[in-house]
Amino acid sequence: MIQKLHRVLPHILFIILIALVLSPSVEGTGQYLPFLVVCIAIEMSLIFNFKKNVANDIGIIVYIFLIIWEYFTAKVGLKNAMLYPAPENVFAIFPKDYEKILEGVFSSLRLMFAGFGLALLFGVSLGLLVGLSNRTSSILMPIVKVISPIPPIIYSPYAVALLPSFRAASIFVITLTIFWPIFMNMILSVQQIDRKIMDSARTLNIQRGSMIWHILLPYSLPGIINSLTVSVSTSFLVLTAAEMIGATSGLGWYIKYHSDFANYSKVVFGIIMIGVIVTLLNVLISLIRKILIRWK
Amino acid sequence: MGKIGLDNVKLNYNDNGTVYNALDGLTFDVKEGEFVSLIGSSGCGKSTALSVLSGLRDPDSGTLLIDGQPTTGTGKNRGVVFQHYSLFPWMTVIKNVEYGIRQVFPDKPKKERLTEAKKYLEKVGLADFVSKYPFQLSGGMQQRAAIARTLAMKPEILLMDEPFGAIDAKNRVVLQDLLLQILEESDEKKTVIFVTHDVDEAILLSDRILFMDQKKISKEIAVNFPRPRNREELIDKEAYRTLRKRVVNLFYYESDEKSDVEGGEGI
Repeated sequence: MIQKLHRVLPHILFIILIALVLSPSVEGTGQYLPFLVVCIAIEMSLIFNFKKNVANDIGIIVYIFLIIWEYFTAKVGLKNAMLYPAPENVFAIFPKDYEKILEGVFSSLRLMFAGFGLALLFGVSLGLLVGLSNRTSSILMPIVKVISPIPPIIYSPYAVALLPSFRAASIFVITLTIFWPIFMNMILSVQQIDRKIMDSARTLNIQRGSMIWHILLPYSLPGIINSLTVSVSTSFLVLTAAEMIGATSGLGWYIKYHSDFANYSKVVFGIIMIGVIVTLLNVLISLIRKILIRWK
Repeated sequence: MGKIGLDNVKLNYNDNGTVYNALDGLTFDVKEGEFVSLIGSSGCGKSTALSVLSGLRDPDSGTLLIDGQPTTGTGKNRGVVFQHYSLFPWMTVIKNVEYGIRQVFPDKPKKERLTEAKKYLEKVGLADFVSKYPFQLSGGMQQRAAIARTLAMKPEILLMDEPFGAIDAKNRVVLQDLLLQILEESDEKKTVIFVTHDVDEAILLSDRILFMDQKKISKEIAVNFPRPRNREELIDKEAYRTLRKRVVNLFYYESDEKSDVEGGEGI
Protein backbone atom coordinates (compact mmCIF):
# COMPACT_ATOMS: atom_id res chain seq x y z
CA MET A 1 0.00 0.00 0.00
CA ILE A 2 2.66 2.46 1.12
CA GLN A 3 4.83 1.31 -1.75
CA LYS A 4 2.04 1.97 -4.20
CA LEU A 5 1.51 5.42 -2.72
CA HIS A 6 5.23 6.09 -3.02
CA ARG A 7 5.00 5.15 -6.68
CA VAL A 8 2.20 7.57 -7.52
CA LEU A 9 3.15 10.37 -5.10
CA PRO A 10 5.44 12.27 -7.49
CA HIS A 11 2.74 12.19 -10.18
CA ILE A 12 0.11 13.48 -7.73
CA LEU A 13 2.54 16.25 -6.77
CA PHE A 14 3.00 17.01 -10.46
CA ILE A 15 -0.74 17.46 -10.92
CA ILE A 16 -0.93 19.68 -7.83
CA LEU A 17 1.94 21.76 -9.19
CA ILE A 18 0.31 22.16 -12.60
CA ALA A 19 -3.02 23.11 -11.00
CA LEU A 20 -1.17 25.62 -8.86
CA VAL A 21 0.60 27.14 -11.84
CA LEU A 22 -2.64 27.47 -13.78
CA SER A 23 -4.56 29.04 -10.89
CA PRO A 24 -4.65 32.85 -10.69
CA SER A 25 -1.44 34.52 -9.55
CA VAL A 26 -0.56 37.75 -7.80
CA GLU A 27 0.17 40.79 -9.88
CA GLY A 28 3.51 40.96 -11.64
CA THR A 29 3.75 37.25 -12.40
CA GLY A 30 4.54 36.75 -16.04
CA GLN A 31 4.00 34.11 -18.67
CA TYR A 32 3.57 30.65 -17.19
CA LEU A 33 4.19 28.69 -20.39
CA PRO A 34 8.01 28.29 -20.12
CA PHE A 35 7.73 27.10 -16.52
CA LEU A 36 5.02 24.68 -17.54
CA VAL A 37 7.33 23.29 -20.22
CA VAL A 38 10.05 22.77 -17.61
CA CYS A 39 7.59 20.97 -15.29
CA ILE A 40 6.45 18.71 -18.11
CA ALA A 41 10.08 17.98 -19.03
CA ILE A 42 10.74 16.91 -15.43
CA GLU A 43 7.64 14.70 -15.47
CA MET A 44 8.71 13.14 -18.76
CA SER A 45 12.13 12.24 -17.44
CA LEU A 46 10.45 10.78 -14.33
CA ILE A 47 8.19 8.61 -16.45
CA PHE A 48 11.19 7.61 -18.56
CA ASN A 49 13.07 6.48 -15.42
CA PHE A 50 10.06 5.04 -13.59
CA LYS A 51 11.86 1.76 -12.85
CA LYS A 52 14.44 3.46 -10.65
CA ASN A 53 13.29 3.94 -7.07
CA VAL A 54 15.68 6.79 -6.57
CA ALA A 55 14.13 8.72 -9.48
CA ASN A 56 10.84 8.61 -7.59
CA ASP A 57 12.44 10.05 -4.46
CA ILE A 58 14.24 12.77 -6.38
CA GLY A 59 10.97 13.59 -8.17
CA ILE A 60 9.15 14.01 -4.84
CA ILE A 61 11.82 16.37 -3.50
CA VAL A 62 11.96 18.43 -6.71
CA TYR A 63 8.16 18.79 -6.90
CA ILE A 64 7.81 19.74 -3.24
CA PHE A 65 10.50 22.37 -3.75
CA LEU A 66 8.77 23.73 -6.89
CA ILE A 67 5.35 23.74 -5.18
CA ILE A 68 6.70 25.72 -2.21
CA TRP A 69 8.54 28.10 -4.51
CA GLU A 70 5.50 28.60 -6.73
CA TYR A 71 3.06 28.92 -3.83
CA PHE A 72 4.91 31.53 -1.80
CA THR A 73 6.08 33.67 -4.70
CA ALA A 74 3.34 33.57 -7.30
CA LYS A 75 0.24 32.80 -5.21
CA VAL A 76 0.78 34.32 -1.77
CA GLY A 77 3.20 37.06 -2.77
CA LEU A 78 6.09 37.78 -0.42
CA LYS A 79 6.98 41.24 0.85
CA ASN A 80 10.19 41.64 -1.13
CA ALA A 81 8.80 40.16 -4.30
CA MET A 82 11.76 41.49 -6.28
CA LEU A 83 14.22 39.42 -4.22
CA TYR A 84 12.16 36.25 -4.58
CA PRO A 85 11.22 35.93 -8.23
CA ALA A 86 8.41 33.51 -9.07
CA PRO A 87 9.42 30.45 -11.12
CA GLU A 88 7.23 31.70 -13.97
CA ASN A 89 9.30 34.87 -14.15
CA VAL A 90 12.60 33.00 -13.91
CA PHE A 91 11.89 30.54 -16.71
CA ALA A 92 10.24 33.21 -18.86
CA ILE A 93 13.69 34.79 -19.10
CA PHE A 94 14.90 32.21 -21.59
CA PRO A 95 12.52 32.92 -24.51
CA LYS A 96 12.99 36.64 -23.89
CA ASP A 97 16.73 36.70 -23.45
CA TYR A 98 17.95 33.54 -25.12
CA GLU A 99 20.33 35.24 -27.55
CA LYS A 100 22.26 36.91 -24.77
CA ILE A 101 22.18 33.76 -22.63
CA LEU A 102 23.37 31.37 -25.32
CA GLU A 103 26.05 33.82 -26.30
CA GLY A 104 27.15 33.81 -22.66
CA VAL A 105 27.09 30.03 -22.50
CA PHE A 106 29.17 29.67 -25.65
CA SER A 107 31.60 32.31 -24.55
CA SER A 108 32.07 30.50 -21.23
CA LEU A 109 32.37 27.12 -22.92
CA ARG A 110 34.93 28.36 -25.42
CA LEU A 111 37.16 29.53 -22.59
CA MET A 112 36.60 26.24 -20.75
CA PHE A 113 37.56 24.10 -23.72
CA ALA A 114 40.62 26.20 -24.46
CA GLY A 115 41.68 25.78 -20.84
CA PHE A 116 40.98 22.04 -20.92
CA GLY A 117 42.98 21.59 -24.10
CA LEU A 118 46.00 23.49 -22.87
CA ALA A 119 45.90 21.85 -19.43
CA LEU A 120 45.72 18.38 -21.00
CA LEU A 121 48.54 19.13 -23.40
CA PHE A 122 50.90 20.57 -20.79
CA GLY A 123 49.78 18.41 -17.87
CA VAL A 124 50.26 15.14 -19.72
CA SER A 125 53.49 15.99 -21.55
CA LEU A 126 55.23 17.72 -18.64
CA GLY A 127 53.94 15.05 -16.25
CA LEU A 128 55.48 12.37 -18.46
CA LEU A 129 58.75 14.28 -18.74
CA VAL A 130 59.06 14.82 -15.00
CA GLY A 131 57.78 11.36 -14.09
CA LEU A 132 60.25 9.59 -16.37
CA SER A 133 63.29 11.37 -14.97
CA ASN A 134 64.12 10.78 -11.33
CA ARG A 135 66.53 13.70 -11.32
CA THR A 136 64.04 16.23 -12.68
CA SER A 137 61.29 15.06 -10.40
CA SER A 138 63.47 15.21 -7.30
CA ILE A 139 64.33 18.83 -8.17
CA LEU A 140 60.85 19.92 -9.21
CA MET A 141 58.59 18.08 -6.76
CA PRO A 142 59.44 20.22 -3.67
CA ILE A 143 58.81 23.38 -5.71
CA VAL A 144 55.59 22.00 -7.16
CA LYS A 145 54.37 21.04 -3.68
CA VAL A 146 54.61 24.69 -2.64
CA ILE A 147 52.99 26.18 -5.75
CA SER A 148 50.27 23.67 -6.59
CA PRO A 149 48.10 24.10 -3.46
CA ILE A 150 47.62 27.82 -4.16
CA PRO A 151 44.01 28.08 -5.37
CA PRO A 152 44.27 29.32 -8.98
CA ILE A 153 41.24 31.58 -8.47
CA ILE A 154 43.54 33.75 -6.36
CA TYR A 155 45.50 34.62 -9.48
CA SER A 156 42.47 35.92 -11.36
CA PRO A 157 42.52 39.63 -10.33
CA TYR A 158 46.25 39.74 -11.03
CA ALA A 159 45.92 37.77 -14.27
CA VAL A 160 43.19 40.10 -15.48
CA ALA A 161 45.49 43.05 -14.85
CA LEU A 162 48.62 41.40 -16.19
CA LEU A 163 47.47 39.70 -19.38
CA PRO A 164 46.48 41.62 -22.52
CA SER A 165 42.84 40.50 -22.66
CA PHE A 166 40.24 39.04 -20.38
CA ARG A 167 40.09 35.95 -22.56
CA ALA A 168 43.78 35.28 -22.09
CA ALA A 169 43.50 35.83 -18.34
CA SER A 170 40.60 33.44 -17.86
CA ILE A 171 42.14 30.78 -20.10
CA PHE A 172 45.29 31.08 -18.01
CA VAL A 173 43.42 30.63 -14.74
CA ILE A 174 41.29 27.72 -16.01
CA THR A 175 44.34 26.03 -17.49
CA LEU A 176 46.11 26.28 -14.16
CA THR A 177 43.11 24.87 -12.27
CA ILE A 178 43.01 21.77 -14.42
CA PHE A 179 46.74 21.54 -15.03
CA TRP A 180 47.86 20.75 -11.47
CA PRO A 181 45.72 17.67 -10.86
CA ILE A 182 46.54 16.24 -14.30
CA PHE A 183 50.25 16.99 -13.93
CA MET A 184 50.47 15.43 -10.44
CA ASN A 185 48.39 12.46 -11.53
CA MET A 186 50.63 11.85 -14.51
CA ILE A 187 53.85 11.99 -12.47
CA LEU A 188 52.46 9.59 -9.87
CA SER A 189 51.12 7.14 -12.39
CA VAL A 190 54.42 7.05 -14.32
CA GLN A 191 56.47 6.63 -11.15
CA GLN A 192 54.17 4.13 -9.46
CA ILE A 193 53.18 2.09 -12.49
CA ASP A 194 52.22 -1.47 -11.57
CA ARG A 195 55.45 -3.46 -11.51
CA LYS A 196 53.80 -6.43 -13.19
CA ILE A 197 52.86 -4.31 -16.19
CA MET A 198 56.31 -2.74 -16.27
CA ASP A 199 58.02 -6.15 -16.13
CA SER A 200 55.80 -7.42 -18.90
CA ALA A 201 56.62 -4.35 -21.01
CA ARG A 202 60.35 -4.69 -20.36
CA THR A 203 60.45 -8.34 -21.38
CA LEU A 204 58.82 -7.31 -24.68
CA ASN A 205 61.77 -4.94 -25.33
CA ILE A 206 59.51 -2.01 -26.16
CA GLN A 207 61.10 1.12 -27.65
CA ARG A 208 60.84 4.32 -25.60
CA GLY A 209 58.34 6.03 -27.92
CA SER A 210 56.02 3.05 -27.99
CA MET A 211 56.48 2.70 -24.23
CA ILE A 212 55.05 6.19 -23.75
CA TRP A 213 52.35 5.98 -26.40
CA HIS A 214 51.13 2.40 -25.95
CA ILE A 215 51.87 1.69 -22.30
CA LEU A 216 52.26 4.77 -20.08
CA LEU A 217 49.51 6.90 -21.67
CA PRO A 218 46.76 4.26 -21.71
CA TYR A 219 47.80 3.18 -18.21
CA SER A 220 47.39 6.77 -16.97
CA LEU A 221 44.24 7.58 -18.93
CA PRO A 222 41.68 6.52 -16.27
CA GLY A 223 43.47 8.69 -13.70
CA ILE A 224 43.53 11.65 -16.09
CA ILE A 225 39.82 11.36 -16.81
CA ASN A 226 39.02 10.98 -13.11
CA SER A 227 40.89 14.14 -12.30
CA LEU A 228 39.05 15.89 -15.15
CA THR A 229 35.73 14.90 -13.60
CA VAL A 230 36.77 16.54 -10.36
CA SER A 231 38.25 19.65 -11.91
CA VAL A 232 35.44 20.39 -14.37
CA SER A 233 33.28 21.82 -11.57
CA THR A 234 36.17 23.66 -9.96
CA SER A 235 37.26 25.18 -13.24
CA PHE A 236 33.73 26.37 -13.98
CA LEU A 237 33.66 27.98 -10.56
CA VAL A 238 36.95 29.68 -11.32
CA LEU A 239 35.74 30.81 -14.73
CA THR A 240 32.45 32.30 -13.56
CA ALA A 241 34.22 34.03 -10.70
CA ALA A 242 36.72 35.50 -13.15
CA GLU A 243 33.89 36.57 -15.45
CA MET A 244 32.31 38.42 -12.54
CA ILE A 245 35.52 40.39 -12.14
CA GLY A 246 36.39 41.46 -15.61
CA ALA A 247 34.34 40.05 -18.47
CA THR A 248 31.78 41.59 -20.78
CA SER A 249 30.13 38.28 -21.68
CA GLY A 250 29.69 34.83 -20.22
CA LEU A 251 27.41 33.43 -17.54
CA GLY A 252 29.36 34.88 -14.62
CA TRP A 253 29.13 38.30 -16.20
CA TYR A 254 25.40 37.78 -16.91
CA ILE A 255 24.68 37.06 -13.25
CA LYS A 256 26.83 39.88 -11.91
CA TYR A 257 25.53 42.41 -14.43
CA HIS A 258 21.86 41.75 -13.69
CA SER A 259 22.31 41.63 -9.95
CA ASP A 260 23.76 45.13 -10.24
CA PHE A 261 20.39 46.14 -11.72
CA ALA A 262 18.51 44.08 -9.11
CA ASN A 263 17.02 41.92 -11.85
CA TYR A 264 16.93 38.77 -9.74
CA SER A 265 14.80 36.75 -12.15
CA LYS A 266 17.74 36.83 -14.52
CA VAL A 267 20.19 36.14 -11.70
CA VAL A 268 18.32 33.02 -10.59
CA PHE A 269 17.96 31.88 -14.18
CA GLY A 270 21.71 32.33 -14.71
CA ILE A 271 22.42 30.23 -11.64
CA ILE A 272 20.15 27.44 -12.89
CA MET A 273 21.86 27.67 -16.30
CA ILE A 274 25.27 27.13 -14.68
CA GLY A 275 23.94 24.00 -12.97
CA VAL A 276 22.68 22.72 -16.31
CA ILE A 277 25.98 23.44 -18.09
CA VAL A 278 28.15 21.78 -15.42
CA THR A 279 25.87 18.74 -15.50
CA LEU A 280 26.14 18.55 -19.28
CA LEU A 281 29.94 18.79 -19.08
CA ASN A 282 30.01 15.95 -16.56
CA VAL A 283 27.81 13.85 -18.83
CA LEU A 284 30.21 14.60 -21.68
CA ILE A 285 33.20 13.46 -19.62
CA SER A 286 31.57 10.21 -18.54
CA LEU A 287 30.69 9.63 -22.19
CA ILE A 288 34.33 10.15 -23.16
CA ARG A 289 35.35 7.77 -20.37
CA LYS A 290 32.97 5.15 -21.68
CA ILE A 291 34.35 5.45 -25.20
CA LEU A 292 38.04 5.60 -24.30
CA ILE A 293 38.16 3.13 -21.42
CA ARG A 294 36.34 0.05 -22.53
CA TRP A 295 38.91 -2.17 -20.90
CA LYS A 296 37.82 -1.87 -17.26
CA MET B 1 78.07 -25.34 -24.25
CA GLY B 2 74.50 -24.73 -23.16
CA LYS B 3 71.85 -22.51 -24.66
CA ILE B 4 71.28 -20.52 -21.47
CA GLY B 5 72.85 -20.71 -18.07
CA LEU B 6 73.89 -18.93 -14.93
CA ASP B 7 77.43 -18.94 -13.60
CA ASN B 8 77.87 -18.32 -9.87
CA VAL B 9 75.15 -15.66 -9.79
CA LYS B 10 74.76 -13.71 -6.57
CA LEU B 11 72.03 -11.16 -5.94
CA ASN B 12 71.03 -9.14 -2.91
CA TYR B 13 67.81 -7.27 -2.27
CA ASN B 14 68.00 -3.97 -0.50
CA ASP B 15 64.79 -3.30 1.35
CA ASN B 16 65.02 0.04 3.20
CA GLY B 17 68.56 -0.55 4.32
CA THR B 18 68.14 -4.23 5.20
CA VAL B 19 69.99 -6.43 2.76
CA TYR B 20 68.49 -9.79 1.90
CA ASN B 21 70.35 -12.48 0.08
CA ALA B 22 68.21 -13.57 -2.88
CA LEU B 23 70.61 -15.74 -4.87
CA ASP B 24 73.79 -17.21 -3.48
CA GLY B 25 76.06 -18.61 -6.13
CA LEU B 26 73.47 -20.03 -8.48
CA THR B 27 74.99 -22.10 -11.27
CA PHE B 28 73.28 -24.23 -13.89
CA ASP B 29 73.20 -24.80 -17.58
CA VAL B 30 70.33 -25.64 -19.91
CA LYS B 31 70.90 -27.31 -23.28
CA GLU B 32 69.21 -26.23 -26.47
CA GLY B 33 65.71 -27.69 -26.75
CA GLU B 34 65.70 -28.83 -23.15
CA PHE B 35 62.76 -28.29 -20.79
CA VAL B 36 63.99 -27.60 -17.28
CA SER B 37 61.85 -26.95 -14.21
CA LEU B 38 63.07 -24.93 -11.26
CA ILE B 39 61.26 -26.06 -8.15
CA GLY B 40 61.52 -25.37 -4.44
CA SER B 41 59.60 -23.93 -1.52
CA SER B 42 58.50 -20.32 -1.64
CA GLY B 43 61.37 -18.01 -0.83
CA CYS B 44 64.02 -20.36 -2.22
CA GLY B 45 64.87 -17.87 -4.94
CA LYS B 46 63.37 -19.60 -7.97
CA SER B 47 61.39 -16.58 -9.19
CA THR B 48 64.39 -14.33 -8.62
CA ALA B 49 66.45 -16.73 -10.69
CA LEU B 50 63.93 -16.38 -13.51
CA SER B 51 64.06 -12.59 -13.31
CA VAL B 52 67.84 -12.78 -13.77
CA LEU B 53 67.40 -15.15 -16.71
CA SER B 54 64.87 -12.79 -18.31
CA GLY B 55 67.15 -9.81 -17.76
CA LEU B 56 64.71 -7.91 -15.55
CA ARG B 57 67.41 -7.93 -12.87
CA ASP B 58 71.12 -7.95 -13.43
CA PRO B 59 73.13 -10.01 -10.94
CA ASP B 60 75.43 -8.36 -8.38
CA SER B 61 78.12 -10.83 -9.35
CA GLY B 62 78.32 -13.83 -11.66
CA THR B 63 77.08 -14.01 -15.24
CA LEU B 64 74.04 -14.81 -17.31
CA LEU B 65 75.25 -16.76 -20.34
CA ILE B 66 73.26 -17.13 -23.54
CA ASP B 67 74.88 -19.20 -26.29
CA GLY B 68 78.03 -18.86 -24.24
CA GLN B 69 77.96 -15.07 -24.34
CA PRO B 70 77.68 -12.99 -21.15
CA THR B 71 74.40 -11.09 -21.37
CA THR B 72 72.72 -8.25 -19.48
CA GLY B 73 69.20 -6.85 -19.76
CA THR B 74 66.19 -8.20 -21.55
CA GLY B 75 66.37 -9.50 -25.10
CA LYS B 76 64.27 -10.66 -28.00
CA ASN B 77 65.76 -14.15 -27.75
CA ARG B 78 63.83 -14.69 -24.52
CA GLY B 79 60.05 -14.66 -24.02
CA VAL B 80 58.54 -14.52 -20.55
CA VAL B 81 55.15 -15.64 -19.22
CA PHE B 82 54.35 -14.47 -15.68
CA GLN B 83 51.81 -15.73 -13.19
CA HIS B 84 49.71 -12.54 -13.43
CA TYR B 85 49.16 -9.65 -15.77
CA SER B 86 51.38 -10.47 -18.67
CA LEU B 87 48.76 -8.88 -20.93
CA PHE B 88 48.12 -5.16 -21.24
CA PRO B 89 44.57 -4.57 -19.98
CA TRP B 90 43.87 -1.74 -22.43
CA MET B 91 44.49 -3.86 -25.53
CA THR B 92 42.17 -6.53 -26.85
CA VAL B 93 43.56 -10.05 -26.88
CA ILE B 94 44.51 -9.95 -30.55
CA LYS B 95 45.99 -6.46 -30.16
CA ASN B 96 48.13 -7.75 -27.30
CA VAL B 97 49.53 -10.52 -29.46
CA GLU B 98 49.96 -8.25 -32.49
CA TYR B 99 51.73 -5.69 -30.32
CA GLY B 100 54.12 -8.39 -29.14
CA ILE B 101 54.84 -9.43 -32.74
CA ARG B 102 55.44 -5.79 -33.71
CA GLN B 103 58.26 -5.51 -31.14
CA VAL B 104 60.15 -8.35 -32.79
CA PHE B 105 59.13 -7.93 -36.44
CA PRO B 106 58.50 -4.18 -36.85
CA ASP B 107 58.84 -4.37 -40.63
CA LYS B 108 56.10 -6.94 -41.05
CA PRO B 109 52.90 -5.29 -42.41
CA LYS B 110 50.10 -4.93 -39.89
CA LYS B 111 47.82 -7.24 -41.82
CA GLU B 112 50.34 -10.08 -41.62
CA ARG B 113 50.94 -9.42 -37.96
CA LEU B 114 47.22 -9.72 -37.28
CA THR B 115 46.98 -12.96 -39.28
CA GLU B 116 49.95 -14.33 -37.36
CA ALA B 117 48.38 -13.25 -34.04
CA LYS B 118 45.14 -14.96 -34.98
CA LYS B 119 46.99 -18.16 -35.87
CA TYR B 120 48.61 -18.32 -32.43
CA LEU B 121 45.36 -17.50 -30.65
CA GLU B 122 43.72 -20.37 -32.52
CA LYS B 123 46.55 -22.60 -31.37
CA VAL B 124 45.74 -21.90 -27.72
CA GLY B 125 42.01 -22.24 -28.29
CA LEU B 126 41.04 -18.58 -28.15
CA ALA B 127 39.78 -18.16 -31.73
CA ASP B 128 36.41 -16.93 -30.49
CA PHE B 129 37.83 -14.44 -28.02
CA VAL B 130 40.24 -12.41 -30.13
CA SER B 131 38.45 -9.09 -29.71
CA LYS B 132 37.77 -9.40 -25.98
CA TYR B 133 39.64 -7.38 -23.40
CA PRO B 134 41.67 -9.28 -20.80
CA PHE B 135 39.23 -8.40 -17.99
CA GLN B 136 36.50 -10.23 -19.91
CA LEU B 137 38.47 -13.48 -19.81
CA SER B 138 39.00 -16.01 -17.03
CA GLY B 139 42.45 -16.39 -15.50
CA GLY B 140 43.07 -19.50 -17.57
CA MET B 141 42.13 -17.77 -20.82
CA GLN B 142 44.36 -14.82 -19.96
CA GLN B 143 47.27 -17.22 -19.53
CA ARG B 144 46.45 -18.84 -22.88
CA ALA B 145 46.60 -15.41 -24.49
CA ALA B 146 49.86 -14.60 -22.70
CA ILE B 147 51.36 -17.86 -23.97
CA ALA B 148 50.12 -17.09 -27.49
CA ARG B 149 51.78 -13.67 -27.39
CA THR B 150 55.06 -15.05 -26.16
CA LEU B 151 55.12 -17.86 -28.75
CA ALA B 152 54.14 -15.47 -31.55
CA MET B 153 57.27 -13.45 -30.79
CA LYS B 154 59.26 -16.60 -31.66
CA PRO B 155 61.83 -16.45 -28.87
CA GLU B 156 64.47 -19.18 -28.77
CA ILE B 157 64.10 -19.42 -25.03
CA LEU B 158 60.81 -19.54 -23.13
CA LEU B 159 60.86 -18.48 -19.47
CA MET B 160 57.75 -19.24 -17.44
CA ASP B 161 57.26 -18.05 -13.87
CA GLU B 162 54.56 -20.22 -12.25
CA PRO B 163 52.29 -19.55 -15.23
CA PHE B 164 49.57 -21.87 -13.98
CA GLY B 165 50.06 -21.13 -10.28
CA ALA B 166 46.90 -19.03 -9.92
CA ILE B 167 44.62 -21.27 -11.97
CA ASP B 168 42.17 -23.82 -10.59
CA ALA B 169 43.22 -27.45 -10.60
CA LYS B 170 41.02 -28.51 -13.51
CA ASN B 171 42.13 -25.76 -15.87
CA ARG B 172 45.74 -26.17 -14.80
CA VAL B 173 45.69 -29.72 -16.14
CA VAL B 174 44.18 -28.52 -19.42
CA LEU B 175 46.83 -25.83 -19.79
CA GLN B 176 49.68 -28.21 -18.98
CA ASP B 177 48.48 -30.56 -21.69
CA LEU B 178 48.14 -27.64 -24.10
CA LEU B 179 51.70 -26.49 -23.41
CA LEU B 180 53.02 -30.05 -23.86
CA GLN B 181 51.18 -30.36 -27.14
CA ILE B 182 52.34 -27.00 -28.53
CA LEU B 183 55.96 -27.60 -27.61
CA GLU B 184 55.87 -30.99 -29.33
CA GLU B 185 55.18 -29.25 -32.64
CA SER B 186 58.41 -29.15 -34.58
CA ASP B 187 58.30 -25.44 -35.42
CA GLU B 188 57.73 -24.48 -31.80
CA LYS B 189 60.60 -26.46 -30.33
CA LYS B 190 62.12 -24.27 -27.66
CA THR B 191 64.46 -24.19 -24.74
CA VAL B 192 62.21 -23.78 -21.70
CA ILE B 193 62.86 -22.85 -18.09
CA PHE B 194 59.73 -23.31 -16.02
CA VAL B 195 59.37 -22.18 -12.40
CA THR B 196 56.80 -24.07 -10.34
CA HIS B 197 56.18 -25.59 -6.93
CA ASP B 198 53.88 -28.25 -8.34
CA VAL B 199 55.75 -31.56 -8.40
CA ASP B 200 53.40 -33.31 -10.85
CA GLU B 201 53.58 -30.36 -13.21
CA ALA B 202 57.38 -30.38 -13.10
CA ILE B 203 57.62 -34.12 -13.83
CA LEU B 204 55.03 -34.08 -16.59
CA LEU B 205 56.65 -31.22 -18.49
CA SER B 206 60.39 -31.43 -17.83
CA ASP B 207 63.45 -33.21 -19.08
CA ARG B 208 65.25 -32.21 -15.92
CA ILE B 209 64.22 -30.81 -12.54
CA LEU B 210 66.46 -28.46 -10.61
CA PHE B 211 65.59 -28.26 -6.94
CA MET B 212 66.46 -24.97 -5.31
CA ASP B 213 67.14 -24.54 -1.63
CA GLN B 214 68.95 -21.84 0.32
CA LYS B 215 69.17 -19.60 -2.76
CA LYS B 216 71.01 -22.12 -4.92
CA ILE B 217 70.56 -25.45 -6.70
CA SER B 218 70.69 -28.25 -4.19
CA LYS B 219 69.64 -31.20 -6.33
CA GLU B 220 69.30 -32.12 -9.97
CA ILE B 221 66.96 -34.85 -11.14
CA ALA B 222 66.65 -36.16 -14.70
CA VAL B 223 63.16 -37.03 -15.92
CA ASN B 224 63.66 -39.65 -18.58
CA PHE B 225 60.12 -40.45 -19.65
CA PRO B 226 59.83 -40.61 -23.44
CA ARG B 227 57.93 -37.95 -25.37
CA PRO B 228 55.23 -37.33 -26.44
CA ARG B 229 53.98 -37.81 -22.93
CA ASN B 230 50.49 -38.70 -21.88
CA ARG B 231 49.35 -37.73 -18.42
CA GLU B 232 47.13 -40.77 -17.78
CA GLU B 233 49.72 -43.28 -18.95
CA LEU B 234 52.45 -41.53 -17.01
CA ILE B 235 50.79 -41.43 -13.60
CA ASP B 236 50.06 -45.15 -13.75
CA LYS B 237 53.72 -46.01 -14.10
CA GLU B 238 55.65 -47.31 -11.12
CA ALA B 239 58.66 -45.26 -12.22
CA TYR B 240 56.55 -42.09 -12.11
CA ARG B 241 55.46 -42.77 -8.56
CA THR B 242 58.99 -43.47 -7.42
CA LEU B 243 60.25 -40.29 -9.02
CA ARG B 244 57.41 -38.27 -7.60
CA LYS B 245 58.14 -39.54 -4.09
CA ARG B 246 61.78 -38.70 -4.55
CA VAL B 247 61.00 -35.11 -5.56
CA VAL B 248 58.39 -34.64 -2.82
CA ASN B 249 60.89 -35.83 -0.24
CA LEU B 250 63.27 -33.09 -1.32
CA PHE B 251 60.82 -30.57 0.11
CA TYR B 252 60.86 -32.30 3.50
CA TYR B 253 64.60 -32.66 3.74
CA GLU B 254 65.47 -29.36 2.13
CA SER B 255 67.13 -27.67 5.11
CA ASP B 256 69.26 -30.67 5.95
CA GLU B 257 71.85 -30.21 3.25
CA LYS B 258 73.83 -33.35 4.00
CA SER B 259 70.93 -35.75 3.72
CA ASP B 260 70.76 -37.91 0.69
CA VAL B 261 67.16 -38.42 -0.21
CA GLU B 262 67.65 -40.45 -3.35
CA GLY B 263 65.22 -43.28 -3.52
CA GLY B 264 62.95 -41.54 -1.09
CA GLU B 265 63.50 -43.76 1.95
CA GLY B 266 62.64 -42.33 5.32
CA ILE B 267 59.04 -41.30 4.88
